[in-house]
Amino acid sequence: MRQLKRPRRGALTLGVGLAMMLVMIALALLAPVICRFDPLEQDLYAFLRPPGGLHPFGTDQLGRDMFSRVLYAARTDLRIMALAEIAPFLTGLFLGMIAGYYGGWVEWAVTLATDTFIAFPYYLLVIVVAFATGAGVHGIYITFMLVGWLLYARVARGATASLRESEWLQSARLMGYSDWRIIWRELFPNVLPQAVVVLMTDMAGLLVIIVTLGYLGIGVTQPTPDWGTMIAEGQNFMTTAWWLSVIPGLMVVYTGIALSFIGDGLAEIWEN
Amino acid sequence: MDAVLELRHICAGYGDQPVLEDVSLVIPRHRVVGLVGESGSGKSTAARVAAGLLTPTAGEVLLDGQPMAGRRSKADCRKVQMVFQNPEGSLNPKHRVGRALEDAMVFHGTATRGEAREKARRLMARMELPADAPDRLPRSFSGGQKQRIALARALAVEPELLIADEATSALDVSVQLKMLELIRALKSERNLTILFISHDLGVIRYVCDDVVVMRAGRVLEAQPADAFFRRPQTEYGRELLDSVPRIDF
Amino acid sequence: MDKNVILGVEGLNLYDRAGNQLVKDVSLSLRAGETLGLVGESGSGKTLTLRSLIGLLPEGIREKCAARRDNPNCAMIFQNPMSALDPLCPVFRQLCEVIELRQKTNPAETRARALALIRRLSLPEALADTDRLPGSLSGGQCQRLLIAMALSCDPEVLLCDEPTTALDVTVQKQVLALIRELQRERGFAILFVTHNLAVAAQVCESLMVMRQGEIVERGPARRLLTAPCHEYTKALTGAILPVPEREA
Repeated sequence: MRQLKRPRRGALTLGVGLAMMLVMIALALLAPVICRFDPLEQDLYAFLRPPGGLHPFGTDQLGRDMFSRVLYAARTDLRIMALAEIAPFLTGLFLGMIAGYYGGWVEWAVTLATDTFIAFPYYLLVIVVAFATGAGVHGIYITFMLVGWLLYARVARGATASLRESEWLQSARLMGYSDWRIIWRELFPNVLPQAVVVLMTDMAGLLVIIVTLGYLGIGVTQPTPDWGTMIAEGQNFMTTAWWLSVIPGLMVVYTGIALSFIGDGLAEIWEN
Repeated sequence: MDAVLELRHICAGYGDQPVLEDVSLVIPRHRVVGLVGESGSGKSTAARVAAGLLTPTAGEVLLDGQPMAGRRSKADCRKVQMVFQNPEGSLNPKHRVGRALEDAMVFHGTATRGEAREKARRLMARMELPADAPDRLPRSFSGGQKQRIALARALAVEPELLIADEATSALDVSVQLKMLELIRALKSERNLTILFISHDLGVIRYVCDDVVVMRAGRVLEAQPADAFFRRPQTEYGRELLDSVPRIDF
Repeated sequence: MDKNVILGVEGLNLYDRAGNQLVKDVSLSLRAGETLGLVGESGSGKTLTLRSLIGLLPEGIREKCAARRDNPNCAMIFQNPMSALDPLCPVFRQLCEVIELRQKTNPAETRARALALIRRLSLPEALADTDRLPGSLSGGQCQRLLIAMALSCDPEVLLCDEPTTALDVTVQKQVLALIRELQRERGFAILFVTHNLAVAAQVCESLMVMRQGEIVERGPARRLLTAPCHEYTKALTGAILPVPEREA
C-alpha cells in the first residue's frame, strides 16, 4: 500500500505547491492591473490605517497602500530569486555531470571546490560582496554566480558518478556514442530530477537571503518595495501597526512553503 | 582460421591491481566460445578488454584482423556489443525501450529513422516481448524481459561479436532457459559469433561450441566443448566438472 | 500437530501492508534429524516462510496460522557469509563470544571448544593464535566459520538460507559435503531453503516446491526429481541444464 500511496501523496503535495506558487506569480505579474494605488504614492492623510475597506492590507507610516507594496515587492523578490538561480543551476549541472562522467582530476577539482565553499559561511560571503559592490541587488547576483553553482555541481556529480558504472551507460559507450551525446541524452534525463528538487529547496533559501539582506539594508534599496525592507521598517511600529511587518513576513513564509511543497512532491514522485 | 576477435598476450588490471596476466584468446567466426572460471578468475575483465571498455597494459587486441589501439572508431564500435549480468541496470530508466534500439540503428546506419521503428518492433517481437513493449519504460518489465531487450539492443546494430557476460546468471532457472533457447535459435538464424561468459557449466554446455577455462587471471585450457566435457586437460578443469551439483541416485 | 515435530507451522498465511497474499496456506514440519529442502524461484515466498518459522518477519508483514511449534534451539546460516560477520571483530573472537554466550563456559573451556570446532571445519588452526578479520578470509572460510558458530550452540535445527549461492562451485561442493557430514554426526534437523533443485538434492531427503506463495508439490527428493507430478516441478527439473560425468 505504501508503494502505491507514495506517488499519489507526492502528486498531491506537488499540486498544492504548484497552485500556491502560481497564485503568487499571478498576483505579482498582475500587480499593475489589480492594484488601485501606486506602491510609491504617499498619502499623509491616510497613514497607518489598519487592514480593511479601500486598503485590504492597510497603509504604512507614509500612507502608502500595503497591498500594492506587498505585490510589487513580490515582483522584485521573485524576479531576483529566479534570475539569480538560472545561471548557477545550468552551470552547476553541466560541470557536475562532466566531473562525474570523466572522473579523474576534473572530478577531484570540482569536489575540492564544492567541499571548500560549502563549508564557508554563506552570509559572510554575501555581505562581503555586498560591501564591495555597494548596496543593491548586484551583490546577490554576483555572489550567486560565484558560489551558487557549487551546490548543483555537487548534486549532479554525485548522481552522475553513481550511474557511471551502470550497465546501460557502458552499453552506450560500447555503441560508440560520443561523450557529449552520452552526457546530454543518456545522463541528463537521469540527473535532472535530483537537481530540480535541490533547486526548489535552494530557491526558498535564496528568498530568505534576499529578504534578510533587504532587512539589513544591504539588499534591495529604497524606495523599491521589497519584503525585507518592509519588515525592517515595520519593526518600529510593531506594537501599534502589526500589519506592516507581519504581512510581508507571511508572504515570505507562504512562498517558502510553496517551494518546499514543490520540491518534496517532485522528490516523492521521482523517488521510485 | 577466420577470427573475429583475438586477444594476444593481454595484461590488464584496475589501478595497481593486475587481473589478467598474459591472456591469449581466439574467437573464431560463427562460433560460440564459452569462458568459464570462478569469481576473481578475470573472465569479466577479459570481456571488458575485448569490448574496448578497458585498455590493456600490455598485449594486443585484434578485431577482424586489425589491431585496436586508443579509442575505437564508430565502425569498430558497432562490431562488438555486450549484454551484462544485472538486468536492473541494463536499460536507461528514462528512455522508452524502443528508443534505445532505434537510436542505435540510426546511429550506425543499420536503418533509417523511418525504418527503425518497424525494425525495432520486429526485433523485439522476435525476442518474444509483448507487442506494446517498445513504447514502455524499463521499469515495467521483468528481469528476464529486460535482459532480452538488452539482447535486442545489442543485435540491433548487427554486431560481428556479441559478448554475454553472465547475461543469464541473475535470472530464475526457467527464465534463464527461455533466454538460452532464444540465444541458441538466434545463433543459427543470424550466424552469430558469441563470447559467452558464465560460471555455470550447465549453461556453458548448453550454448557453447568451444570452452576456455580461466583461473587467477590466466587461461588454463581451451578446446572444443565436447572434448572439454569428456576429457578436461587440466586438474582444475576436472575439479570444476566434478564440483557441479548433480541429481544422481 | 504431531508431538514429534520440533519445528513447524500449519496453515500459514502471510500478507503485506496492502493485503496482498504473499504466502498461502503453507504447512511444514520438521522432526528430529529430518532434512527438508524448500525450493522455489525468486518471489515464491520461501524465505518469508523460513523467517516466519523463527519469528524474524520483516516489518509490515501480517501473519495468520492455524498452529505452530516454535523451537528456541535453532541456528541459522545465511546467503552472504561476509555480511553475516562483524567486519571489525576478529573471527576467532566472534566464535568465542557466541560459545560463551550460549554455553556459559569459562574462558579456558570456551577456547577449547572453539578450537575443536575450527579443527572440525578444517579452518586454519592458526586463527586461535593470530586472529584475523573476516575481510581477510575467503567466502568459503567465512561460511565455514558461520557454520561453526551455528553448531556451537548444539542446535536441534539448522536453518540454511541459500548458504552456497554466493560461493564458487568448487567451494559449494565442499560446504555441502560438510553440512551433510555434520548432520550425520550430530543428528540435527535441517531446513534448507534454495532456488537450486540440484543443490537441495545434495543435502535433503525430502523436498517441497514453492511457487507464488503456495506449496505445489512435496515428497521424497528422489521421487520428486525423477518423477515430478506437478507441471511447475516438471518445468523446474526440465530447466536444469545437465553436465554429464566426465570420462574417467
